Formats: sequence, C-alpha cells, structure tokens
Amino acid sequence: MSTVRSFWNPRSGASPYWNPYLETMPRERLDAIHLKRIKSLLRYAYDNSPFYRQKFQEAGITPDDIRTLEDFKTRVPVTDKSDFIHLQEENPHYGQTGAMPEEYIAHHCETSGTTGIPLRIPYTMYDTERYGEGWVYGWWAVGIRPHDTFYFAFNWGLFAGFWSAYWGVRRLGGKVYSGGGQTTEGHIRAIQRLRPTVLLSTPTYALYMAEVAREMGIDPAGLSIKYTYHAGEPGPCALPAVRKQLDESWGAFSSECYGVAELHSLTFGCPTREGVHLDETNTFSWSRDPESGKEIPEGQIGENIVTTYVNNAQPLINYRTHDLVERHYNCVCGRTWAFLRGVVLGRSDFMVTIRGTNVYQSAVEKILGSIPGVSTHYQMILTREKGLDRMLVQVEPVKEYPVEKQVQLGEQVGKAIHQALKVRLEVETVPVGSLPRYELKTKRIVDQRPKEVRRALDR
Amino acid sequence: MDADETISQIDRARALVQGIRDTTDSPLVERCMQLAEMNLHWAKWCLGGDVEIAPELDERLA
Repeated sequence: MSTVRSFWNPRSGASPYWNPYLETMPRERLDAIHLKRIKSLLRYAYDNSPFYRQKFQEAGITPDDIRTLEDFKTRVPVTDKSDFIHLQEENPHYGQTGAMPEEYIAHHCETSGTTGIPLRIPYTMYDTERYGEGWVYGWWAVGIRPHDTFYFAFNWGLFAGFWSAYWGVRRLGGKVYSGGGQTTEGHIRAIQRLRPTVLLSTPTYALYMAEVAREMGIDPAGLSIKYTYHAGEPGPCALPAVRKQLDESWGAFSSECYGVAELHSLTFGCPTREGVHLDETNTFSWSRDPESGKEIPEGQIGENIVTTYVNNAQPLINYRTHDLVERHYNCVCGRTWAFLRGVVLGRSDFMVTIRGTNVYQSAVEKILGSIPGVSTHYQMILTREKGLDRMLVQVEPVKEYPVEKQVQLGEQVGKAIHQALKVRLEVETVPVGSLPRYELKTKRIVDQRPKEVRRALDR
Repeated sequence: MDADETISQIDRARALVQGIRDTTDSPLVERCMQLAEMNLHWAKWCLGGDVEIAPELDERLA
C-alpha cells in the first residue's frame, strides 16, 4: 500500500503566518537584515548594471560608501520609470538597465504603456518565484490554503500582475483555473461549473461580474467563492463601502494586494482590512516628500520609495512609485512589517486607474495635442456605473473647426486613445468655450464617483 | 527546530546540492540541482539568513 503523505506537518500547517520568523521579527533586527541585503544589492547592481554604475558615479558614491540605512536613503539617488524607458528605447530590450546574462531571463513582461511607451521587465526564474511568493503572504493571512482553488478572471498577456499571482498559487500549492479571455457571462458559467473558492480579479471587475451574474438570474453570493482577492486598483478593501459591496456581492471575504508591475506584489492585505503590509522579505521602502526629497516620518503621508530584492534581472533601487502612503510600524495583527493605512491615498502625479489600466493625464494630453482640430481645452470626467469606473474625455475643438465635423473629431480622438493606451475611453466633443477655464492650477481630472470609492486624498 | 538550527541544516543541504551540480554529466540533473539550490537560498533568505542577493553570487564568492 502506498499512501500520499499529508501536505503539511502539523506545526507549520497551523501557523497563522506564512513566514512566522520574519513577519513578527523585532524591527531593529529586521532593519539590520535590510542593511546587509541592501549592501549586497548595491554591490551587485554596481558590478552588473551599467545604468547603476553610471548613476552611482554621477552621485559620487560607490557601494562601500553606504554603511547605514540613513546613508542609503540620503545618498543613493532615486530612480524613476522614465529613466529605464529611455535607456530601453535607445538599446532594446533592456538597454543598460539589465544585470543578468540572457540565459538567466525566464520571463518577459511589460507595463501597460499608459505613460506612452511600455516599460520592459525581465525576470529570472528566481525573480518569478520571489514575485509569486509576495501574494502568498496575503492569502495565508486571510485563511486561504493549498486545498483552495483559484479562478483567474483575467486575460493573460504581457502584464505582470496576474502572471505573478499564478506563480504565487504554484508556490502555495493551490489549484489554478485559468479563466482567460472570454465574456463576463462565460466567466460566470465557468465559476458555476468549476466551483472555485477564490476569485482573483480587479475589484471593479469583481463587482461588474456580480452585476452580470444577477442579470443572468444567478445570485453570485450563492456560488462557490469564499474569498475574493484583488489587485490592479489599490485600496478597495480599505474603503468600507467598497469592501462591504465586494463581500456582500460574492458572499465572500475580500482582500487585496497593492503591487507595482515592474517591482512586484510588494504588499498584502492585513486581515484587519484597514490597509496592507509591506512584504519585507522582498522589499525595503520608505516615505519621501515628493518636493523636498526628505524622509517623511511614521504616521505622515509621503511618496512610497521602494527597493526590491525580487528583480535581479533588472534591479530597481530607491524607485519612485508616485503613490502617496501613510506608513506605520505597529499593527494589531502582530506583524512588525510596515503597515500602509488605507493602502494608496493618492498620487504624486496625475493618474487614474480605469479597468485596471493606469491612465495618465499627461499621456491623454499628448495624444490630444497630436490631433489637428483639437484645442488645448479638455477635461477628463471619472464616474462609476454598475461598479465599473468610467472615463469621459471632453474636448473642445479649435474655434474655426467646422461644426458638422465635430462628431467625427471625437471618434478620431477615441480611436487614437485606444490605439496608444490600450484602453477605451468615451470621448465627447463639446462647444467651443464651454469647458471651465482656470486662473491658477488647471483641474483636468474631475472625479464624480461616490465619495466612498475615491482615494482618501481625492475626496 | 529554531531558525538558526534550520539555517545550518539548509547550509548542509546546499553543500550536498552544489557537489552534485558541480560533478554531474547530466544537464537534467544539473538543472534540478540549480532549482534545488534556488529554493534552499530562498528558504535561508526568508529566515533572515546571511546570504547574498542571488545564489549565483554566493557561488562566485565561495
């Protein structure tokens, strides 16, 4: 007789934490470990990435000059997505920014390209394992275990988000149902038939799916889903109204990961659902004043600056996320890992997320500027219908533009946006002079969504 | 078993794996050992152990 042994030994299987050693480690010890890892990362990046070697030389430092975390925050330059995009454009695929020989690269992803050009992201096999593991912390924290079955309501492509969740399910030992690209009705039927216990999707799509299920005469709360887990639009579960809507729609417990495609799934939902914890096996981060560049203390709002240990194929050090967060170090859940209350409270640039795609005002403005007949007056109105965020772009034509051609002009703008940003936005041409003119700071994005679903700083 | 004991057991396993990796004439076995080493490095990392950022660097330093 050959019996399959049990998946866990009784001790580790009963742990409330996925990694009990590090998740509850005293801060001082944890910071000492971070310092060692940062030193190793800086040496590695300096020796292997032409981008970092030059960056450090311009700053007049070598890795040996960084002896404390304070040194790291104040002397090592911050980096931004645009640095990487420019170098990759000059010398594809990874330009001067790669740090590993080609044979180590196991997976290639890209950002959605909403700033204009997609950022290419290489991963080694090990990078993908580490990236995936970031998800597991959050699943384990809310009670998801290897016997759970994950439904991916997601169209697989070059986007890192749900690939990384797939890597995560494999690390956990769960079962994957790959929903793939199909209609929402198709997803509902598949969930009915396959009976998964975990739904992975953007939060707005989970709410839309629930709405469609009800239109099909199916109560989504009566299906098999026990947990919904979200990414792509940070913060839904920390907003009580949205959390309630998600929980009640699916009769499930919702939680979330706030990640950044080119970094990794850097946080996971705290079981208190008032924010997320930083995955400190993979990440070191601190808050910075976007204007002065100075560190922002605990409890105050600043830009999240992230150093990842995940991406060795293309290191990201002191990387600007442009996400505004409120950082704390004490949490009732027992974790000592940084806690970001409310997840992402706003942006240090002008960006909104539509159906999981980041839409930058600057990118839309650039497109409008390239179309003859469109004036410099425009407005982006954000609303919410059936649980989905919608964006209406209103444009004024130039004064002399023929009235009879204005509808076609709007269609032309809509097509150009879709082609460049891979997201469909509604476009309306409005009469000349009808949009507001601002004397001081121009307000291009008008958020008309219910107050309870907006980010804290946008209310 | 506490974290320190676990780390020392992992180090022993890593040495065994590296030995096989260095001497095998099968690409398949070598790849299996690479992946085993990656997971052992990861386990040690996640316990807060003293390792370089990637196992390839540990190897170079050894």
